[in-house]
Amino acid sequence: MPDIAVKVEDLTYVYPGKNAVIANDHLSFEIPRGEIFGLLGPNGAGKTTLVLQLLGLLRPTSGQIWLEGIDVVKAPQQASQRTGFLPQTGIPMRYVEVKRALYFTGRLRGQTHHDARQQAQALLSHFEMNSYAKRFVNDLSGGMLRLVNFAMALMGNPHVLILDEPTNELDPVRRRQVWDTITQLNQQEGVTCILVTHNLLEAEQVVQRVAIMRAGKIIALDTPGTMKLSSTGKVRLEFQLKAAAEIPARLYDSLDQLGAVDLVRPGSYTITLMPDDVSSAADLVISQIGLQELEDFRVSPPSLEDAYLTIEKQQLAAT
Amino acid sequence: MTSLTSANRVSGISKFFIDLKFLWLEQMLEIRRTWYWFLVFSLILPVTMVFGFTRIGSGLTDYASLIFIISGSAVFAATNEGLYALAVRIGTMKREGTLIYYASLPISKTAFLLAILLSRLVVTFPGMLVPLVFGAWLYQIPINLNLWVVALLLLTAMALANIGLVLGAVISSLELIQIIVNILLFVLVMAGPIFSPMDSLPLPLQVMSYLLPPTYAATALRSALHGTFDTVFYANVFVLLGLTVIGFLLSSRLLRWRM
Repeated sequence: MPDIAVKVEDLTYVYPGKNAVIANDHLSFEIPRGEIFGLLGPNGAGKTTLVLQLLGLLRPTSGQIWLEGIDVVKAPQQASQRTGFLPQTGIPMRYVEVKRALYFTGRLRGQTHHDARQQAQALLSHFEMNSYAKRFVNDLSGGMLRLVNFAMALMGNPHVLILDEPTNELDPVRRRQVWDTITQLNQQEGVTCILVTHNLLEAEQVVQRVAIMRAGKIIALDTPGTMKLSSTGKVRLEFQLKAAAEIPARLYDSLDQLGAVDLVRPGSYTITLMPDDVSSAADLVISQIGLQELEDFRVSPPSLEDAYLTIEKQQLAAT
Repeated sequence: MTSLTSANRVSGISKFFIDLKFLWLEQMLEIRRTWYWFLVFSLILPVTMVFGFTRIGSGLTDYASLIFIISGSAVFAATNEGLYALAVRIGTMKREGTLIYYASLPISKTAFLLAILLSRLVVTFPGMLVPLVFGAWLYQIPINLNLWVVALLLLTAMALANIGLVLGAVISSLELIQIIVNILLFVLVMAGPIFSPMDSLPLPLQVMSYLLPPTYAATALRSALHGTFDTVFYANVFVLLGLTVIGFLLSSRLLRWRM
């Protein structure tokens, strides 16, 4: 099996029409087999167009895509045998019972009766959904429906998973279950996963590399760690007062000279500053307010969300 | 979880029939949940039609008129349940994005379309048979319920459902599909020789009628109910069969599975 799961070369897609729109603009990247790859970007950045092309559902205007060595443009059917897809909406089988929906999906993905039955049961147990097995998919709550759809994407043992907002509408416990399953599939089975999400705080915990798209282009592509460091180079000092009060104006001005001070909510502050200034800022807060008046006090590295917002701001400024 | 390394795969022609079976089953299971609507539209509507049409004016209860009314009601049922329902179904799938999901699966487009078509057939067939049986019983008229009638009902349902597939495939907006199909429903049923003889229509409508499958369906159905199996009957069946095949090929070609 090739070491590269997905290879995209000079991929361009232009939506035809009077006012032609370039949705993907000369994209080139590779995803090694067994990587969890995050695809981020604002609405209209071209993520969905890229996903549709990766699935072989949209013929590129130019450029090429290979999925596990298969030319997706020339042999989309062959490529689709290796791909599991979880779209945000539009999943059928709503009037079928949960277990049947899983089984049917497996059969449609080419599994034998035995394999489909076995995997459907295994997934029901894995997601603790046995009590839902005979419920109609359409009668499930939003979160349970999403979980069933996620399980449907796993049927047939795909080598590459393309998941669009997999944790939408899920409660914290189920969200954790989905992320753990993705990690488990990745580590134990070597499944490659392309994750399209806006939930950066959660995605950060599982993705190994991230691409940020804007206006049809990839404006950043790196590991979350490198991206966070290179984009902001700053850390955050967060503190919360026991009373929902404001800090003295003198302290605010002193902190403001060290970094950007944000009042998150009454009594809760975040200061984004260079690592060298952390100790001075901490001293100022503790000496002028006192530890006994603080409910919370912490220093944290920038999050993927911070990096994303910084890169977005830089791009906006550049344009 | 089951190991992802399991690699027993069904492929080739077996895979086509498995796709067909499970896609058809999925459609049928949906009908299971909405059977009451199916009952209203598939059965009661054609029966009401027979009841109402035979009371037009001073009453149309002579044998010739009754044959036109009951066969016409059967063709109407196929137009409504086959053509209309399928055009709207494909339009809804496109709007909701379901079509993209199906396209992302390793299934054959032909199996997908055939499954939808066959599931519609199951819904449409009783609705076509009921006006024949009900009309014959209500007015005590002799009709010849033979295998040709059954075959013609199935073929008519297929032919009209194919038009629905083609319309659903080529028209992008669901609203436009509904408007066009509603207009077409009346044109196909009222402006052709479905409820009236061909020679009672003005010449332009007669010419247009030769292009429409319901013309051949209704004419052949009347012959079969009479028990008249002459050359004209076989010619009508042949043309209807041809239009069915052309319709299916056209819908397979026009449905944008991969854009």
